Amino acid sequence: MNEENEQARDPAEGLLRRWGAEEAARRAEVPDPTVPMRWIGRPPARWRWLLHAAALLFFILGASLFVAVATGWLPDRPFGAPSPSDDSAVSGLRAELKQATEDVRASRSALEAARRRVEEQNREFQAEVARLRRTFETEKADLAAEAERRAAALNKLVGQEQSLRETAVGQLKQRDARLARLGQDLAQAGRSLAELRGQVAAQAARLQEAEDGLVTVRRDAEKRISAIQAQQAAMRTSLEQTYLAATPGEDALGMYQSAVRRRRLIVRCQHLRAQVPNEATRRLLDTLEVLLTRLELMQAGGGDLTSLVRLIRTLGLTRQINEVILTGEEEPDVRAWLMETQLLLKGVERAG
Amino acid sequence: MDAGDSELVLRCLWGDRAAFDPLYRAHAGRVKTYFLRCGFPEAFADDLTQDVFVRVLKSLHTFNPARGTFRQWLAAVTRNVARRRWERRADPESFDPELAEETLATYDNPGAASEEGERMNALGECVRALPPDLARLVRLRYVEGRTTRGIAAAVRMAEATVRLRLAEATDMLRRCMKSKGLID
Repeated sequence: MNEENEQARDPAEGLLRRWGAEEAARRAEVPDPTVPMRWIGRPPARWRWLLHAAALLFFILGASLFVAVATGWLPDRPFGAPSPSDDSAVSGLRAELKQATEDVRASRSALEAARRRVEEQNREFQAEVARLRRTFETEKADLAAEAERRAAALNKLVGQEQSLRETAVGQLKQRDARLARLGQDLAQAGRSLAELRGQVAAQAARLQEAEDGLVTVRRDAEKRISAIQAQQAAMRTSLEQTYLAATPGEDALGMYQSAVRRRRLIVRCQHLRAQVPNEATRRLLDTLEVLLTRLELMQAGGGDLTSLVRLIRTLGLTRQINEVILTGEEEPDVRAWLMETQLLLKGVERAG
Repeated sequence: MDAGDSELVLRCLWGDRAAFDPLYRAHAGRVKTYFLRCGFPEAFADDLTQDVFVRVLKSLHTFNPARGTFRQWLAAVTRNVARRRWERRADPESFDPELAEETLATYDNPGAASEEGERMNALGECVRALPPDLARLVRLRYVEGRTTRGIAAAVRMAEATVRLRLAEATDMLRRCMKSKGLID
């Protein structure tokens, strides 16, 4: 019964039970109704007196019959009924015996049939048992094979899981170590960043100080440059008045020769030459010394002034002097001597 | 359907003879099925069915719709009649009382809806698709409501064989029902 209750909870079993009930009800052969409908409700009123009259008539007839029998007016036995006799009793007993004999014969044949049926069922039972045993052995072997196959599959899965787990643990450890290193690098970078920020602040302060110093130096330099420029301008004015104020002619030549002697240009050139390290400047000084010496020895009224002017222009001496002065590499005495000589040559060019 | 029953009952109570016949035709089959599934012989089941409807009609005025449907009331009368004649069953061990009760349980909740009817038709197709010997076992079990012993006696098989064959048939039916979407 428990097994059947278990089955009842199965949806397929429940569906089958409902189907079976519906199918049985549909297939049932229903007998025709025999219920008299007069049992339902009450008879119509116009027939009710007839029922009462019929009941009264039956009662009167019954009472009359009882009285007639009781008073002997009617016999207590039906008219014409034969009385029992011995022959009829014997014939009745014979009939009963014959019937009993037939019953015994029928029972024997039924017993024989039942025995044959039992033997047949026993044979079927034995055959069924053998078939069930074979089925059991087959199922048992199949189940053993299936169990072995599943065990192998399970072992394989366990091995795969172990391998995957070891791989995952290794990867996890590597990631942990990498994360630790990254954390250390991050901390170090934080510290370096702080140091760099300090260094940047110090450098910025130093730069600010240097910038402030440079501003002061530039202002001093600008002041000095202004002073030097003023001094040079004054000197240039003085020299130009000395060397360029003359008019062309013999007086100009004499004036330039006098200026060379008065300013002692040739003597100063010989002294300054030893202070000049640059070879090109020394060669320029040599050329200028020769040129000044020729100017000093020149006779008044001679025609050498024109050739001297041509030589100055051909050699580009004023331009070379300008280049040496602008480089600013020479000593101030050298630069002053070169500037005086340049002015003198410009005056000679103008006079020539 | 229940509204139709109520109307027929009301017409019977008012003395309408024509209302009895459809009421009887609608319910007598299931009442007789219940008696057959309880193990009563067919002839006696017919008598009991008649008895049920005689009792129903005699006491129809006691039916109270507020306490339940006519079908539930009829099921109670049917159970009482069967209980009074319980010792008259021919072979009680051959019939499953749970399946007999299923007749009236289904009766309380009839598969009258079209969807339920379609499901029953589909399941009938599955049963008809079974091999004949298995289909016979299924009908003996679920239509006639027999126990394993009753089926074994009817088909002259061992009970173990009947169980195996029934399990085989149930498996086939379950596959068929799945293919038709009757079960998950």
